Amino acid sequence: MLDSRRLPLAVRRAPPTVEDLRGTTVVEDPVQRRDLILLNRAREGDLDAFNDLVVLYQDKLFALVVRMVPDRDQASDAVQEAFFSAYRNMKGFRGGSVKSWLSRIAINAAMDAQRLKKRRPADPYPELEDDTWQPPADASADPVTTSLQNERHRALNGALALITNDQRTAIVLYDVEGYDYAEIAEITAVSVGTVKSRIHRGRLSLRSLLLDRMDLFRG
Amino acid sequence: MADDGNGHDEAALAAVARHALHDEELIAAFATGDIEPGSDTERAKGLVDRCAVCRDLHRDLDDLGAALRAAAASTATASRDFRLSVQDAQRLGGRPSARGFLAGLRESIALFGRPAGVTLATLGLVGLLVGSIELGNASAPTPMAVDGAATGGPPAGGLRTGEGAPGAAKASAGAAFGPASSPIDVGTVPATQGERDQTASGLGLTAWLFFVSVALLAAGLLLLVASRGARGAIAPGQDR
Repeated sequence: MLDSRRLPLAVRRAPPTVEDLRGTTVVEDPVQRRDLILLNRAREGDLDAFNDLVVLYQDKLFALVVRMVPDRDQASDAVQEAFFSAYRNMKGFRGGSVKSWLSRIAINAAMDAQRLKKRRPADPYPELEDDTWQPPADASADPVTTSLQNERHRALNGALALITNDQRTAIVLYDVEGYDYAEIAEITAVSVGTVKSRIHRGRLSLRSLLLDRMDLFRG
Repeated sequence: MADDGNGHDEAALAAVARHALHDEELIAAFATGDIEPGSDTERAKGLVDRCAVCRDLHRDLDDLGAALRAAAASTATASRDFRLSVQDAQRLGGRPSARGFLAGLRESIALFGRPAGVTLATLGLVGLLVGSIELGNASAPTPMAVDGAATGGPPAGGLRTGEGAPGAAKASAGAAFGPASSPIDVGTVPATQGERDQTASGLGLTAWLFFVSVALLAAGLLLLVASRGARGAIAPGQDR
């Protein structure tokens, strides 16, 4: 596995905050500005700057990939591959949002992992029974609401694991990641009509799988 | 009452049977908002209005869509640290920075500094010891010189043929390869010159050995100190 005895010298340190990097570039969004500065430093050979980006986005990308590849080990491998690929190809970054660029790479890595899984279909995806999902931080949320949100996420992710790869990918990219149909069509190399159909059928499949638990999702 | 119950069941069954002919994908498209205004929209609206099952389906799909969008804000904690090591960066063909190079150097020193330092320092000490012994041997009188002293040596300016003299063979050999000399000097001068050359080269070798040994010792000690420092930098307060 890739996580064995890695980074023997890694010294945990907080990535630079947005304020640390203020005033050094012209991009308005401070988060994007920070990301671009880190990426530029990484492109100049600063590995620590790249690792700062990794720390900033690894949970986000893992959450994205594990929805598409609901096997935690495979998802981890895919995310690691995505960061390797990003490091290899960072000189080809054409500007824009670093987060979107990394997400695209992670999506491609996840789709590669799905194809690998399709070639070896003997093991179905295991039921997602982990408690590492963190609902959105909301200070005002009471324990009952938080518990309900957790239960909802668990049920939804469990059902997502059971629908087809194509449907899952389309739903995750559209509903969760917020890509539009044309972008999804480009990423998955199918027509916009096919993307729509996958989303509709995928939602119908989810509803069938969750029919007995739909009260969790009411209002 | 039983008739009412049966009638209710029959109505429900009839509704389900009617729904079997309804286009669920159309309802899903309608719930997602993917139907262009036109006849399909009217048809979907009509199904939702008239069919209870279609209405439930539409509501459930709405709720699921909202739950999926809400899921975007939730994150999962990665079970692994995905940061790249210096080795990863080198393997991936990136150009490691000075910081990366220094980190790699620090790692190497931390890992191999101590054994390498001990080895170098030991070699240096052994070299110094050997050099000292060599120096002692070189400064002690050679057997030839001792022999020469015992026989009183050649008389100054005296004629010696070398017969019976100790080291005559060596002297003859020296004469064969040495500079041309008068027959009077045969057997004495070449032997002394060779001895001097040998002593000089021995001393040069010893000096070189001393120099290398001191350098090795110093490098070894430096590596030991550096490895201690590198270990401290990597894992403060923890010495491997």
